[in-house]
Amino acid sequence: MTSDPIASLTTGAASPVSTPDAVPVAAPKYRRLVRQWWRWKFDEAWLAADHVLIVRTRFFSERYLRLYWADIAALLFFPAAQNRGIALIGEIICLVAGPALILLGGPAGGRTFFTASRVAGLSIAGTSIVLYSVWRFTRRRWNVEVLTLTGRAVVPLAIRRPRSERYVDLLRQNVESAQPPVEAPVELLTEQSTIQIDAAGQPPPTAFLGAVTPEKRPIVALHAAVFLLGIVTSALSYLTAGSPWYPLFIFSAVLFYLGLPVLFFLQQGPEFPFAVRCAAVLNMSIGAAALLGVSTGYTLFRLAAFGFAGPRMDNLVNVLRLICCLFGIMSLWKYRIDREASPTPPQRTLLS
Amino acid sequence: MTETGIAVIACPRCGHELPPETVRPGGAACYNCETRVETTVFSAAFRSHSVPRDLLIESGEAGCFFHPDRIAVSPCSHCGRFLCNLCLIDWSGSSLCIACIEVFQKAPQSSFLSADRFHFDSLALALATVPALLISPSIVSAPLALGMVLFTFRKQTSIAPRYKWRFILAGVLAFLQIAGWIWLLVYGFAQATRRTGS
Repeated sequence: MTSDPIASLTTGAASPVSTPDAVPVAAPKYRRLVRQWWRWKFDEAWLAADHVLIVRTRFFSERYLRLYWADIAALLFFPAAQNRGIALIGEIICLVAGPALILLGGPAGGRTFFTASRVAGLSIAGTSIVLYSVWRFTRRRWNVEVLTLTGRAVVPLAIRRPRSERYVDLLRQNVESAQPPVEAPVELLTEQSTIQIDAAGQPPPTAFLGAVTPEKRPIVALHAAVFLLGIVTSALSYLTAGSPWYPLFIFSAVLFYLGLPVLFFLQQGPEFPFAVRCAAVLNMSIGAAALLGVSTGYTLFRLAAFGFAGPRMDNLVNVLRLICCLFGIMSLWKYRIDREASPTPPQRTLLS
Repeated sequence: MTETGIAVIACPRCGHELPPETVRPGGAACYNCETRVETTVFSAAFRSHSVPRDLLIESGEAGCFFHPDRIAVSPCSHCGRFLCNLCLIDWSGSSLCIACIEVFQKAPQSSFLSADRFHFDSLALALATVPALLISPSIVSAPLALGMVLFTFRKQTSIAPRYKWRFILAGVLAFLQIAGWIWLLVYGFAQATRRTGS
């Protein structure tokens, strides 16, 4: 008697076994690979004793892929895509939304309308900054691809590289405990070149000579300090208005606006992030525009008649400065994370 | 992929062939997209999958249920059929045939072979929250959500550990919405009756 089980699967023929009367193996116990409370709903990896379960969630259902430790051929650790287009849109919304509403709802519409539009503008700017920041800084930036001879799965790991490396090490340990070591030496052939892998699954030890370490300069820290000073200045402007502490605001503002040109001259390197440069330049532009508005516009074009100068002008400058400084700090944070994902400078070795 | 395992590892971003230097500590950049990749290769990559020829049946030996010309090496742990090396599937220490695996996949109580699951809890929570934002659709969606909670609470919505808080929250929200609608209807009816009476 011969029956083809594959054919019965495709044709829907009745299986010779009616119902499972006993489950031959117990359901495996899973533990999550990546433990982070703010997880976005990506593909997830769950570890079992003999396999890793990849869970792909789409809306209200999830599909499973089991990759057994004994079958895993390779682990590929790599940085995730940056989604620069979406990030740019988010950054533009953060910068434009609030100030645009504040400017649109100018004083011509009356005091109530001006206040309402300012509250709405601040709310939208704040919300967009919060939403954008949550997306930007909780997105996992490192992935591992688990490769078998017949299947593959990409698992997002964590934001920071050290934590992601720990997850990869955990996977590696599980695979190594389930497989015999690579028989030495095995040649991994490609069209371009050949490399030997030793018994431990790693290439022959390589001594590094004269590794080039990037020169550390306090530019990033200085940017952060100046942007923080900008936020403090904006806060002091509100808090110390009409109080004896008002000179504190002036002192802070002087330091802030002196720091900006210093930053401009420090950030001449082409590798310096564009967003941070933008934040500093925008702050300078706001300062310059405010100065021009007060000194020339006020006298020449009688803008005071429209209520443009004075406390409202201060508030507008404060809001813009606050947004630009927050944007600068966000960009610095992103720069710090992205630097981990960027290729390290070339190193000279004994082999190459 | 070759008979003796993988010969080329493709870049996970662009699919281009990766340089072999990616197995070194620190990895190497893809020639095409310049993504830096660190690769760890295991012995499974070089495993041979060719079937030995000496497994063909000779006189006096048990044959495979599905391939009578091949030597049976083990019975199926569930149905007992004799299986050859091709048909035998080693599943967590048990030997299974493909027919039993098919049956287990369809069986609701076996989670170790499930290929997919439906999240009744997430659907119930969505039914209890999203329509409520528009208020009026909740008169229909809230009972649906409550019914889904009651009928599917015991169902396993995932083979990975998953808490029941979505069910509980959906149930509470749906109950509150139903109570609100009942109160509104009773109050409205009472008001209408009072107006008619006066």
